[in-house]
Formats: sequence, structure tokens, C-alpha cells
Amino acid sequence: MTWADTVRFAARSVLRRPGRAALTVVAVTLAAALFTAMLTMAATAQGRVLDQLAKGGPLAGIQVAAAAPDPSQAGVDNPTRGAPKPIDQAALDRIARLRGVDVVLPIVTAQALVAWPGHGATAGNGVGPTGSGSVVFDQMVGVDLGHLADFPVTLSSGRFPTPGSETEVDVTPVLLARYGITGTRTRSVLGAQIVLGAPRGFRSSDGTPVFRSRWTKAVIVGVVTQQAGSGGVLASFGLVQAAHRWTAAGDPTVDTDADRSPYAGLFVIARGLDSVPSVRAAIEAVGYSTSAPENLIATVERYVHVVEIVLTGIGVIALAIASLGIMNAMLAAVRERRREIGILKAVGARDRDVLRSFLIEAAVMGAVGGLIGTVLGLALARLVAAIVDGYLTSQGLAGVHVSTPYLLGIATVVGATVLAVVAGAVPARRAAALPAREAVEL
Amino acid sequence: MGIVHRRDPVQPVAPVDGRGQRPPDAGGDHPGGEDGLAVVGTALAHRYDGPSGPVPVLVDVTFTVPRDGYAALVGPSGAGKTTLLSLIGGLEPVQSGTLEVGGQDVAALEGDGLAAYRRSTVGFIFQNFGLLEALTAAENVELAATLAGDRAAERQRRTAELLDAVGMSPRAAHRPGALSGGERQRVAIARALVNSPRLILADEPTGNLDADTSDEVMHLLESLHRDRGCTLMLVTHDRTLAARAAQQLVLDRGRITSVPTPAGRSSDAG
Repeated sequence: MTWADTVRFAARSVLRRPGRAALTVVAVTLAAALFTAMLTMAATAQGRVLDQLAKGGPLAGIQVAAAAPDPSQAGVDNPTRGAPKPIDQAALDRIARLRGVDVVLPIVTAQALVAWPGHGATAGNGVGPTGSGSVVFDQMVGVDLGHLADFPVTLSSGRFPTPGSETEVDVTPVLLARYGITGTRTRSVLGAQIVLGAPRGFRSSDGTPVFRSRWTKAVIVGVVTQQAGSGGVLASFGLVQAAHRWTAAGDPTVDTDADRSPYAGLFVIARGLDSVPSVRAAIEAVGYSTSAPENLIATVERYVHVVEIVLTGIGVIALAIASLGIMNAMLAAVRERRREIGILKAVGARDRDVLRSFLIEAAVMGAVGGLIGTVLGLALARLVAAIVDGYLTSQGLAGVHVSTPYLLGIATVVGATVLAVVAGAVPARRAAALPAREAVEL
Repeated sequence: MGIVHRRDPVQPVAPVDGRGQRPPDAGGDHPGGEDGLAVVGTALAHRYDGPSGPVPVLVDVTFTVPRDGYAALVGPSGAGKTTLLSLIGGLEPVQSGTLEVGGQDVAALEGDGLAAYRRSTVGFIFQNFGLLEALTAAENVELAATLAGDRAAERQRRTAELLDAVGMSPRAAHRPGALSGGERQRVAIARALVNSPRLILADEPTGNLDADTSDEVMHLLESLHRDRGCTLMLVTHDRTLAARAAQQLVLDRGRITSVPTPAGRSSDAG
């Protein structure tokens, strides 16, 4: 009997007992759904937790501060910093050449006077352009917006500024809170116009310290949580660098707080989580303080891995139970079909024809159950994620998004099929070993 | 009702290869291009394991059914008729003695060779029809050819011819459950013939049929035997039916007690 004929015969045998076949498929479906949902949720949870730890940036990200390292803080995730130390282009180039460094991204910050017409800040000082209302002091953080995915920045609502834009900015919930805007209300600021001022200190002709600001208008296009630098406004590198230069060119005796380091910090991405300690040590050897949540990530990873093992274990147990269901159903089928198998052999079926037929029956039930179960499992995971997402966003936090794990889906279908074939092996061998005399009533 | 002859270039006959096919030069001399096969059993003994030890079913059974023969196995229930037929059909292993079908030692067959023998050399007709309920009449007939690995078009053509030959074409698409006993037996006969066997074994083929239907089925079997020239062996309780055979093998408690001649004169066996 050819394979095609065997498949047709097996399919008929499955369809002949639709109730039993359906129940068996349902068992596999539920197991595969549970397995897929568990693993998808575990992977999503892991991604979410680690993402939170890395603040949206890569896990292998290291922040370099414009400060000398404190020798007593070596190996600490968030060490106290030593004396300020400017980061210039030469230092950036030197760090970029260190072993284990993949990417170095400069961060620039600038003092900012934030004026929001029509909004009264809870802690403003009343200075600012005409009609701007109260003004708050904050900082602008400038990064290369083309590499935002590499920075520890998480978008809560809206969008990121267009790379190179001189007029679009994102703001943080912390800045909005200073205007009394919290929770879901933060979304209402999208599209609002603010005025940003970069102060410069100088002395008047009579020696009196005076500040003059360089004002630019900007539109809020998003709300972000960011750890790239200290500040409530995230903007393009060029916009912030221009403000930084304006402020840095002032009289240092007037504005003693002005940051004159060309770069406020660097964000260094190591070539892997394993390289983080050595890269941090090398950067500190160059003379800069670093911070990275490496110890926290390692600890959490261990816990998440345990959770993953438990969830996977539950899924595997479900699949194993489904396999036993297939075996039981097929053993019952063999018992019921002794005479039919005997007839098959009496009219010339070989042992392997019978074996193949039963294995294909098992494989078909496993594959169908696995396929339906995988789709159901992914849907279930998405449903759970949607509920969690709704809760998180209602709390003003970044939501959870489940990606479609195609490989997991394929693996589940293949795994369910293989498990079904393995489970069907014993009944199939038993069927194949039945003698042809079962066909006759002796 | 005509009987269709299959004239394949390669006919199944002993000795068979792995697919139950015989060498091309082993053709017969029957007008239809086919011959029956002689069945020779010598000192056959068979026993089953019972709860209180082995139970002898056949004891020193020796017989010969000639090529193109028509033999009836008769005897009371438990005499060993079906067991003997099962041995000849390759459904039961030969435990003791020798059994040759067309000169081939059936006891030496195993695995694929035995499956090929059942598939192509023998056509087995069961008392309870032995049809698969999941398949239609046509599919049941085609099954044996499918197992032989024949191409779909060829086996469907032969199936249609055979169903027509046994008068079952109008019922080809019906499942066994929708057929009468006589119709089922006709389908079973068509299935037994689909691979052009040269030995037809029928285990009480009329056992579940009424008198009129029994007569129809017997006529069908006898015309097959006559037209196709294949050897026919049948088990029956019915002495009247047995008397229609050219040869009667009377079994009693596992032994052949007499071998009546075609003219009805019995002679002591053995």
C-alpha cells in the first residue's frame, strides 16, 4: 500500500469514529493551547521584567557619567560618582575602541526653562517670555533619535520626535506632574506647544550677574519614561546641543551650575550581557563612572527562568497527559478493531501497512490538535496580555505587547505531532502484531 | 451474469516473490489464461492453547485437491474445517506437517511473502463477509488491489468490472451496513477476486444467507470456478451444498474420516 493510500485509509478510520477522534483532538488542543499560552506569557513576562530593568534599553547597556569612578563602588549596579570629569570626543573615541564594546551613543543635556502657555506650574518662578505663564526649571536630554531603540527610553503614549526635528519633543511624566498632569491625563498633552529656554549667565556692564535665555517653541509629540539622562524633556541631539552650547558659552562665574562637558554621558552597549562587567571595568580604567543593572538583571533572570521552567513544566505535563489520552484512545481502537485488522491482513496487508495506518491516525490527531491548540494558546496569551495592558496603561505605565512567536507555534505543532506518534507507537505495534486469524471466528 | 477475466501480463502464482507475483513463464493452460492451484496437505496437525492445556484441532490431516479442483470441507462444528481453511489461506501458521499450494510450501512463508500470498494467490471469502464498515462496497473491493500497490485507475477499472460481474454495480457506493446479506457476500466475492487469485477459499459463504440467496451465491462461486479455472475450496455444514462439489473432505474431531468421490461414493481416508 502506498503512503498516499495509507493516509487516505487512516483518515477514513479517524473519521469513522468522529466522537472519539474529536475528544482526542480536543485533549491535544487543550494541552497545546496551555503549553503555547504558558510559554508565550512566560516569554512576555520575562521580556517585560527585563525591559523594565533595562528601562527599555538593551540589557547589555552601560551608562557612562561625566564623572570619575569611585574606587570603593566597583561592581555596584548604581555606584556613587566621583568628581565631575568632562567627556569629550577623544574620550568617546577611546571608549568606542575598548574590547567588548559594540556601540557608543553620546548623550547631551542642557538646562531648560519650560514655559507652557495656559498651564500653571505647581512650582514655577514667574519668569519667561511674554504670555508664557509660569516657568519651571528642568533639563533637556538630547540623543540621536535614529538610535532610540538602543537607549533606555520607553514610550508611554504618542510617538518619538522625528529624527533631526528642531521642533518636536517628548516629555516625561515627572515633568507633567509638575504641572499637575498625572495618570491617563498625560495623553491629553499630545500636540501641546511649549517654549523651551536655554539660560546663559553673563555680567552686565556694571558687573551685575544677568541671565538671558534663548527661547524655542516645541510641540509635545509623546510621553516617555527615559533613563538616558536626567531631564524632563527628550529632544533631538542637535536641538539640545545648540541649547547646551548657548548655556556653556556663558560666564562661568555667573552660572556655576552650567555643565560644560561636551557630552553629559554616554550610553555604551556591550557585545552581550556577559561582556558587561569587563566593559564596565575597562571604562572605569579610562576614568569614568559607569552604571548598569547587571547584578539585578542576573538575579531577576534566575527567578524568571525558574518561573519559565515551572510554566513550561505545566505545559509539558499537559502534553504528556494528552499523549496518554491518544495512547488510551488508540489502544481502545485496536481492541475494537481486532477483527478489522485481521481482515486487512487476511486480504494481504503487511504488518507495516497496519503500523503506518495507526501511526498516521495518531499523527493526524496530534497535528490537528497541535495546530488548533497553538492558535488558541496564542489567542489566550493575547487576551491575558490585553487585560494586563489595559491595567498598566490605566496606571500610566507602558503596556505589554505580545509578539507572535512563530517558532514556538511551529515547535508546538511539530511537538504535538511527534508526541502523538510516540504515544501511538505502542498501539500501532500491537495492531501490526495482530494475527490474520482475527478475521475469522474460529 | 458474466465473469470478467483479468489478463495481466504477470499473474500471481506460486512461487511468489515479495509482491506475490510469479515468473512470466508460469502461465496456465486454462482458456482464460489462468489455472487453479493444487493444494496438498500432508500429516497436518494443529492445536490451540486452551485454559487446561493444548487443544488438538487437526490431527494427521492428509489430502489433495487437484488443480482446478472444487472441494467441500464438511463436518460438524468444531471438526477443524475453518482451521484447515485458515491454514491453507495463510491466516494460521502451519504447526506440523506440510502444506503445499501450487507446489509452494506455505509453512515457509512469512512476513511480506506471506502477506503477498494472502493478497494475490488466495482469495478468502468469510462467513460473516469480512467487509470494512467504513468503506463503500467499491472501496472494499478496491482495498485488496490497493494493498497490492496497484495504480488507482487500474484498480478502479477492475473493481467496476468485478462489481458488475457479481451484479453489484448499482450498490457500489453503499456501505456494508446498507446492504443485504446476499449483497454483502457478493461484494466479498468480488473483493476476493480483485487480485485474480488462483485459489478461492470460502468459509461457509452461505452460512448467513437464506436458501434462495445461498443458491445465488453458490452459482456465482461455481461459475467463477468454472469460468476462471481457479481452484475452489469451501467450508459448509450443508450436505446438499457439499454434494455440488467435485470432492468432499469430511472432517470429524480434527481428522479426515472420508474422502467421498465426485460420484458420491465415499472411501476411507488415510
